[in-house]
Amino acid sequence: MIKVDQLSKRYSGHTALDSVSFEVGRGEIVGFLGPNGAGKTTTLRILTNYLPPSSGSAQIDGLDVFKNSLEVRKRIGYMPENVPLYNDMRVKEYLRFRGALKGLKGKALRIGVGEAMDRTSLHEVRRKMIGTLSKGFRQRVGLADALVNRPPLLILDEPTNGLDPNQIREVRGLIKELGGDHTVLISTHILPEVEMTCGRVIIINQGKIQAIGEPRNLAGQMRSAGTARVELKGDPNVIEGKLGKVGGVRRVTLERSDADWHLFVMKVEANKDVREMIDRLARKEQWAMRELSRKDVSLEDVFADLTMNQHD
Amino acid sequence: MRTFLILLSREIKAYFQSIVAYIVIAAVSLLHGVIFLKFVTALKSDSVPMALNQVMLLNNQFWLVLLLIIPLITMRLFSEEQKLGTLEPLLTAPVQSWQVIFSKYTAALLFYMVLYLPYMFYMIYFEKTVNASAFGGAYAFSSPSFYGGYAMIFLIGLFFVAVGCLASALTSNQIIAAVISFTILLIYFFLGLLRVQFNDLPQITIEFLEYISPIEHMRDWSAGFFNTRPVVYYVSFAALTLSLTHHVLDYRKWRI
Repeated sequence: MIKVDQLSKRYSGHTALDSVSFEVGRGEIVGFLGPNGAGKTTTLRILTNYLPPSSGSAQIDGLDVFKNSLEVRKRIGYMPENVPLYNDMRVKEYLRFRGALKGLKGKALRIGVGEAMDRTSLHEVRRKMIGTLSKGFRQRVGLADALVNRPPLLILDEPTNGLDPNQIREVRGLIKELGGDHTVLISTHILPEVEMTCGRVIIINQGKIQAIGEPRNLAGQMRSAGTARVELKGDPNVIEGKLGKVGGVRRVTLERSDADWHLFVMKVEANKDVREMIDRLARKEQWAMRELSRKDVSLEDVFADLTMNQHD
Repeated sequence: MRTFLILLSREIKAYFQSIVAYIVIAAVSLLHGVIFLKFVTALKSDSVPMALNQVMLLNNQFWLVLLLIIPLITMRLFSEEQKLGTLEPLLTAPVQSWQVIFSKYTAALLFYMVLYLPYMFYMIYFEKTVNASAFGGAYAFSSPSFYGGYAMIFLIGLFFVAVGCLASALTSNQIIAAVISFTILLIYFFLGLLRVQFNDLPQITIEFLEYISPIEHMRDWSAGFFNTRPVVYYVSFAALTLSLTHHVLDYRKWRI
């Protein structure tokens, strides 16, 4: 559905996107994850033909975004960041206007607007001025606008930005539901959102793609994919040295000391459980132990690791 | 064409569904009414060898009103969309930039012509109710002057509204847009008046200033002398200004 090849975008003096390539298949829900300023919105704007790339190409449904711009735009339902809307129009009037712009007429327009309002539960406010709506309703109007001509591809830029927890749950539910007959590309900097709604995630930072994969597998692909904690009694320097020699442990740090007790946190290689070996080591060295646990890496750790430049 | 009409109807609604539009219409008809009253009163004592319509159209107060309303009606066009960010959904819908520009331009031009309807009404009212011989015997209203005047208001509007569009596309601040277009139009208008201020200008300069002066164009057309020069002049300047607007709007698409 989406094919992005070596896409770059340079503004005078700084590079917003640096040779970004990825593909999104039909019917997928893909999360575009990155900190603010990572290049998410720039990528989405290039896909929706709002900005041109400096180099590289993007195709949607086999059509080049810039050569077949009008055809491409007919296939995309785009909700920009912060959902800009005309405040002087009424909800239904706005959706009819947008539907007509996207080529619907007559009965198709009526049905399209009706269905979009059904899906986003907008009927109760259909006669209200958009300017008087709450943030949650505005967001829904933006979604309804994206849906109105049933485009095969939905591009939503931070769809849950600024909503309260209930509204966020609603919007996420809606996005999941839409996944059935639409391809959905959402950008976000909120991690649980991606874990809950997306089948695949693209992590981007400073204009470069850092990782692509399923949220679960991404964690597994990490070089140091987990942490183990152990609290022992003994000489901290000796313990630190010996723990570091255990197979699979990449790095040992002394987290805190409490009298004779010392809590160590270890970065552990992917798919390795070092707890048994640590237990054996502690018995051999006769260190008393009061905690031994392992924590799997969450997407949050992956994200932090990839975007904070704190590699070891 | 369908897309253009959809956009146009949205723009026209945006004008006429806002209270500001009616305030502007009321204010402009009031100003024109005051000018009208002033000249009708003056006609009582002086006889003028021109139609009343022509006297009014060549008066500086009439032009001041015209120069003021152009920025007022055009400042919102693109600035507001840029401020609200609605330009993004608009231009990522399957529409072309020129359709957006033309729809806004046409709506503004229409509203501008509506603003001059009360003025035309005053003229018709004057013609129907006043006994011309009571006003020094001179004619007070003539058809060529009436239609020629309105046509020239339209032609000048073609160019001036385009200038307003360009100014509005340049900034997301409506006030700045208004100031830019007012400044451009004011300078342009006063170029035509330089001739009156400095009488020792070289002949070629005088000819040039007369050639571009809207008040000179109005003098011809409101006298019933319909030369085609201003038509070409204003249509081509409007086209040039609109194409500049198109470039400004698509500036973000330039590959730097």
